[in-house]
Amino acid sequence: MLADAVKPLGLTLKLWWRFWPQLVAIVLLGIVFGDLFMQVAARTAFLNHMAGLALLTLVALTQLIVTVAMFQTLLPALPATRAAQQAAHDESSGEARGGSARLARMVTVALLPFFAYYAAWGFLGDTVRQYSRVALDMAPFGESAGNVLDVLDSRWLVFSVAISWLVRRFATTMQKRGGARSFWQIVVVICETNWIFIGLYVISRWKDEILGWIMSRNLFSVLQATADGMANPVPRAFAEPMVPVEVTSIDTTTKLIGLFFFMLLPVIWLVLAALIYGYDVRDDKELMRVHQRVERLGERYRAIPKFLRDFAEHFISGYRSRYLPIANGVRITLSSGVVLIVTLIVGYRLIDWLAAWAWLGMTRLIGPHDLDTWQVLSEGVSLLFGSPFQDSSTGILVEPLRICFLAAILETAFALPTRQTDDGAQLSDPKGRVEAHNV
Amino acid sequence: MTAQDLVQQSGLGERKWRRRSLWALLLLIPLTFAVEVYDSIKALLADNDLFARRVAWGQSVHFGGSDWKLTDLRGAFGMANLPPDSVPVLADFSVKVGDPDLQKLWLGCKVMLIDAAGRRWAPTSAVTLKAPGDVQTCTSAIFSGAKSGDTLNLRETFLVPKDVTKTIRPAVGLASERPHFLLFQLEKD
Repeated sequence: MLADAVKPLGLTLKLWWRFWPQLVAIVLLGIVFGDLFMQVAARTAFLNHMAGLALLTLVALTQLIVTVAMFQTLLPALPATRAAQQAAHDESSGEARGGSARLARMVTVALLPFFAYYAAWGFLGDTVRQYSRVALDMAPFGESAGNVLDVLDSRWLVFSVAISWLVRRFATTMQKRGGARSFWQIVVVICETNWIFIGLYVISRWKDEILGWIMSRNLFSVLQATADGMANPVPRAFAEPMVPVEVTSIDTTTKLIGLFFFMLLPVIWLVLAALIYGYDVRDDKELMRVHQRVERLGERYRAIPKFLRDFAEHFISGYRSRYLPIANGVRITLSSGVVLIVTLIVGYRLIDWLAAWAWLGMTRLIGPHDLDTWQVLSEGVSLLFGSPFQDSSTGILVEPLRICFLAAILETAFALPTRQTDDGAQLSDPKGRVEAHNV
Repeated sequence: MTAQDLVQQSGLGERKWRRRSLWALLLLIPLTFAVEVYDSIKALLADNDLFARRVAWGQSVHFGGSDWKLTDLRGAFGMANLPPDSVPVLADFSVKVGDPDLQKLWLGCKVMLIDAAGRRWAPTSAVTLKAPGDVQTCTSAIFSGAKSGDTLNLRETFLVPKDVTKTIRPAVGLASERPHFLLFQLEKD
């Protein structure tokens, strides 16, 4: 059991030692380009607020490409993951693809889940906030040109999404005609990113507004009071006395919710990693095996008349092939055993924790200086360890380690003996035979 | 092509990329640091008096569009109601205005005393000494409406420990000239 927990850690260090120059170089390129695009977006915003927001997409896209490229760099050292990819690839007998087209496709696959994660964790807000800060810095003193976010509330936003939809359509047509395919692929990716980015941000704003509206009704407070009363019936029965803040405690529900989200982030990152590697593992047979009910659903779907299936397929096939890997990734993650999941959560948080302490230790080591000097020094420290105070900043010592750790966990999950024997013993196992028959 | 060849080839490719990345790091690390630190360095240079321009006693120097000259630096020993071992110090300057746009050129005017160890003292308002009517401070002179060719008499009052009075030298910094500032030498230097 201990060996299961230690194995990914050893593999992490091995991966890091083998690939650190490439990984650090990719992180550095990401930082330079992210900064560059942020400046370009802010400068463009002064000409046109909408264009600035559209260019901001590139900042988020850079982060995704950096993540995908880092995982892709590690692939040669992950035999079990590659074997799984190869097996799925043979089964689906898809056409062989070149390196850059492959990267573009992987970026496309990871686009929506990555941005969903990005928005859910508030990084989208961080990026938008950073952008508005840069624009405010550039705005001449006393002029209102710095308020670049007013477009988010305007109807022209729909117009911008429509433009990117048209550009995307044009690009796909050009792609079909042939000639500079990878260029058009990139255009398609950027357009898709654009509307996902803008769409998600707008939805998250609307969500706040809707919540605000609900909160302002009396109905909600009645519901909340009822829920509170049910959760903690006894303490609510008495009038609460004044309690000094030192003796107050956080109630169990809040603690559990906090713990859940604390544990969720590493798991989400593992799913993203599985998604990036799992692009080729788009085999719905594996997924169907998960559960009898899903299996039956699959059977029923096949029983539908073909013309109806074609009609449905026309709309969902693209998304089905795209998001099957997610479902597969989740399945692999959850079936890889408690020890591995705990190792993932603890290890991931340990890296975060160590990075934060390294940041603090470094500041103690450097010692006190005046504010302007410290501003310069802190940029150096943050470049190494990432800043706990800046919005989604990545350090060149921490980020490669984090990616190596995630890849190591995934590799261990793919290499687990239970999984291998599962696949191998399917035909000899009576249950397995039934499954094979059904599929 | 056999699987063995493929593995060998990818190994070679990996080694090539490792070497390339190591070389790229030599360029990328300083480049990224420079990109990240650019704004902070700009702020550091624009807001701080870092590089001293020494001015000999009795010499007049062109700084921030005007000619600056230190006329006097003296301690007012024996004053009552002050913390023990502290001395008020008066620094007098005579400035011949060249460019009259003082509101732009003299913005962020900072007169200070610097001792041998590099410690700096800012002017104080804790001590007020009687001064002739035409004496101003650096900041009040900005709004005096002085024209080109006028001579302004500036005086700043400081409160310093007694033991540094031997080594303190007056200095002047202006936002338009930063990171450079004037460090005036005394007669005895």
